[in-house]
Amino acid sequence: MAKSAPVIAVIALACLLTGCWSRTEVNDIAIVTATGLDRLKSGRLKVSLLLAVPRTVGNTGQGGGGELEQTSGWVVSDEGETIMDAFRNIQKKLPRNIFYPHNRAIVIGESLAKSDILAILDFFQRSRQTQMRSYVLFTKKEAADILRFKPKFEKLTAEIIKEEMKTGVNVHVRLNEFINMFLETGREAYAPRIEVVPAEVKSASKEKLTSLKLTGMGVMRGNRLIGWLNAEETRGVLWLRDEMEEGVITVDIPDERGGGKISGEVQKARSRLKVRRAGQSFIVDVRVETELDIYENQSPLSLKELNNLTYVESLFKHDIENRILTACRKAQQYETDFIGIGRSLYMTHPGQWKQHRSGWNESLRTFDFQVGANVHIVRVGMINEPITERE
Amino acid sequence: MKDVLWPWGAQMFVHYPWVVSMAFGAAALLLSCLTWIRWNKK
Amino acid sequence: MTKISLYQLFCGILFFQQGTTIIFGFSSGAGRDAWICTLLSTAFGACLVYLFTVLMRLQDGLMLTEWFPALFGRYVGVPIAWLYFVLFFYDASRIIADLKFTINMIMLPDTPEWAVLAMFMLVAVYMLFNGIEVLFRIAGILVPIVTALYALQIILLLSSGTMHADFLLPVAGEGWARIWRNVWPLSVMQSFGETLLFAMFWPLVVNRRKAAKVSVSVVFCSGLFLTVLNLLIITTLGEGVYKRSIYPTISMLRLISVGDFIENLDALGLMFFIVTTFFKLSFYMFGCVFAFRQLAFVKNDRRIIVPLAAVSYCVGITMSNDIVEHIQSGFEELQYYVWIPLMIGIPVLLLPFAWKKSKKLKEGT
Repeated sequence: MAKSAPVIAVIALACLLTGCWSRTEVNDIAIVTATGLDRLKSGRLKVSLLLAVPRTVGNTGQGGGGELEQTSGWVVSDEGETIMDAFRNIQKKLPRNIFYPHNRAIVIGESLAKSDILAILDFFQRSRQTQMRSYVLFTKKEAADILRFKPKFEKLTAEIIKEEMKTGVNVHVRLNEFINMFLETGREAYAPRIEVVPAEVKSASKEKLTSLKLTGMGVMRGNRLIGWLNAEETRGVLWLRDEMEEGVITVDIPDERGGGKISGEVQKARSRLKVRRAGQSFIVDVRVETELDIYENQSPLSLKELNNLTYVESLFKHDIENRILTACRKAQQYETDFIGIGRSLYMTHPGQWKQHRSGWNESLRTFDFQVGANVHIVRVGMINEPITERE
Repeated sequence: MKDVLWPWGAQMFVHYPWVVSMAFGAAALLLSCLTWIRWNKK
Repeated sequence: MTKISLYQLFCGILFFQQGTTIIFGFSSGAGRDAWICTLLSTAFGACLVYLFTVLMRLQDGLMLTEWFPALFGRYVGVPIAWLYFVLFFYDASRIIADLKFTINMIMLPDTPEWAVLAMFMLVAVYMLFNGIEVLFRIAGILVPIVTALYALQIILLLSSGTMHADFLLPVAGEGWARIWRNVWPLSVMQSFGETLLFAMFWPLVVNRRKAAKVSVSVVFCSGLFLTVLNLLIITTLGEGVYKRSIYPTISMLRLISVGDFIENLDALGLMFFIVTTFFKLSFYMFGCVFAFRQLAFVKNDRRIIVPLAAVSYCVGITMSNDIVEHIQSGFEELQYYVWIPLMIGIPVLLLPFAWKKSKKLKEGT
């Protein structure tokens, strides 16, 4: 008995170690790469899934204007009372099981965002398969439209979305961060906004080539979407939340110094937000440290001289401060603290936060924002004197 | 099988926790009989 | 007589104390202050284990279930000793029940649980046939490997940019009441109170005096591991998600993504879980076997092992019908009605008796 026991054990183990009982073959699954959520007028949910068609996904670099044969994404949608319900209805249309872990993006249409969003998110937290790394996006129209977009560079729209999120030009929010925004005190949620726009601006070409664009963001109060910020204001938010990674700032040189514009690109940026009490209200202190490189100089100012450089730095400084203030004003206007001022207060003075918690959003109007930016221009490109007409 | 309240079961534990404690004690006493019977084989 | 080296003892207890916390999280009710809870639990746990080692030293070479008959004679001492057998048996079955839900939830949703658990039990039975020193030896071999993998996990987490240190702030923002509520009784009892099991194995260790020191130092080491784990989880998931998660480590590991390429590493976490759970189960079963052997005067271990495993398997499978009652009974009722009396109550009561007896023995010689 003792001698054959190990052999028996090994054989038994080998049979079941491979997990054959629960096997999931690749061609039995329908890989979801992006999800779109809308609420219909009837109150039901419409779920759209962008499925990857594995045959063609492998061949990248084959972009081009082809139609259905070339694309490897397929949008399927259906409605239901809950997400799970809609999933079941979609499943009925598919020969394969829905496979969720490769989901890259969740696009939420305005219709849904304006109603109760938190209950919807429960599905994503509870599900065994979900990908908490998916990006969350809002769109003004229907999420399904975004998913239907036919990509050029990549094979899948979801990849496009993911790559656009990573460029850091706009805010980006992953699902776990998004959920945390609801759960953390002192903060309201927001998510970037994506739209389908024409690829070329004001062109006369017949082909309506389109592109996906991240334009601004949507902010929420509690559970509901209450407003949109445009791209400019969103940049301000990036500064405020210390998420600025790259960006271009263009400043106007006033006429008495020669006119023209200078553009610089942000290389490094760091912001700090501090809240302190001032009587009944609060003062929000924002300090920004940033390094810029000059990329384009359309003014006659010579950047070889330190004085000029300092002057240009001050122009950038004002520009950044204005952007930040614009974002703050928006928070005040919409009466929602998506910047996270409350959370900052909670982190440093939890007692004070608990006192002022109720009515926080409304009291934002009384806050005073003091913004200070410290700009340092490090590099000016390959030339220092601008190319102007010969004097 | 599911609706039976096993004395070691979680359901019993949650509703009547002292039953489980007593079950422990009872099991211990029962097994002690085994010891006492076999005491002389020591 | 089998001899266990100090290093092996260290490794064995380390795995044992990690137990199921790797998946379920440790003191998650405290939210972002869970790491403080862990540190406090470690301190209390060290005291508790120290108490156990004192008892061991006073009894001079007897294992746990021998203490009671020795001190209280055969009519009072024997039932108390059997009580511990029942405790170990119940805890072993509890581990099987834990596994039952976890495997189905996370890894193999379609495989029937009885099959997976049967496999697990078979390996455990094989281990039991091989003897306790083999288990400790394997622990000694696996600890460096597991630690290296653990470090790898940490590195991967750090490089996937999902950690936010400010999730830890404000420290103790919700007050210390919440922290203390989670330290006692659950966190202290769960890993450190259970170390009482090793009083069954201490007589087998090479150097008993040093075994005591080693056992207490393992507590600190385990505590460190668990604190680091908690810090990782909190900075990645954030307080709200952590408190709501049943399997926080899995959720955390699913967030790892390095270079868009290394993703979905919850399998790694599950590997740890299987290893530590297996050790915990095996140790408990060894405790049962030793206790039974001593108390029922059985000469051949083998006759105990198979029936014991079979019954434990059945009890484990029927123990809980759903995960909710399983967790609730484990976090609440179990503590007050079973663990505290047996792991703290009786040992503390034992202390004066054991002390008196050892004094008598010393004066006698």
